[in-house]
Amino acid sequence: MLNNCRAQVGDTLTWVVATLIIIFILLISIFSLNVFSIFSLSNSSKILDSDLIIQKSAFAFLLSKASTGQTFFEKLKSQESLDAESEALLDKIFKENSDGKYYFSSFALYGYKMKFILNSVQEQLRDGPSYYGMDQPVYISENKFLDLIFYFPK
Amino acid sequence: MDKTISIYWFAILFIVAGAVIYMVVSFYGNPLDVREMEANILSSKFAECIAPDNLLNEKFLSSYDEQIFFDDCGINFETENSFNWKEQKQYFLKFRIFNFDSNELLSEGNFGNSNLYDFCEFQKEKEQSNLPFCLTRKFYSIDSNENKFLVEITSVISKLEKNVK
Repeated sequence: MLNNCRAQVGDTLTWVVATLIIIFILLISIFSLNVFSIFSLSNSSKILDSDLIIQKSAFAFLLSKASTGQTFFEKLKSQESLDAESEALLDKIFKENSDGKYYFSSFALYGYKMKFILNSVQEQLRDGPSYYGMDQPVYISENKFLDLIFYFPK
Repeated sequence: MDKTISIYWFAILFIVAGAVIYMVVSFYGNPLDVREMEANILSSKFAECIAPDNLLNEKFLSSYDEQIFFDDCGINFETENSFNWKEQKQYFLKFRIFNFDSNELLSEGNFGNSNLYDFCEFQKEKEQSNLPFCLTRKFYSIDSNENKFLVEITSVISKLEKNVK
């Protein structure tokens, strides 16, 4: 009789442990699902590879006439770095009249930064802890491009 | 003993089934707000219409009729026939064209349900998901005579019933 009871205790213990493991696995699945929905789905619409409206501004800049009478496209084609006139116009287009896409709050306006790099990508774009990055290259020739790098808050 | 084990198995079955149902409901139960994407697409499509081939369409500098806008741009504000959306338009689009150097307003136009635009004023400080979604984009453009412009496009999308819980 005593031996029978011991066998039952052993069985019960096995099933209790099995139940705990099953519940633990279920809880992990539920937790990871919630984490996935918060971090992935809610932010997926903000991550873009390219932006048509930024491209429009960039192409209009390249088509604009510089003081030399050439278009900025022709001017930049023959240059190895950005001149003051190009930088001033790019500044006015993208900084002073900053596009409002990512600026749904006033904070975002100050979270914005842009760099102009000609002929080489000096900095690899990385997503930071509080911002996303978007690289918008505009090709001037086969191996030269104007690279517009945008940061916008998460 | 066998009876106890079968009850146990039924209990486990219900727990697992309950957890799976909870996961499916929590994943698919909340609507995904796609209005930001929709507003981006609408703005891009309209930007392409205002400045095709990267030169400003000079028609937009004169007064602009809504029907011509729909015909020229190939945009329509039609929605599915649910939640009374057919009667109450769910879209609004506003454009303003400024002189790039002097910031003087040269032209503007409104299309769609203009009541929706009032909600954008409330959200200037902070976006609220339970109100119509507003997106304002600006871009630089030139015309064939080398005049420089700043174009501002505001897209507003309501569709609260399908995007907000």
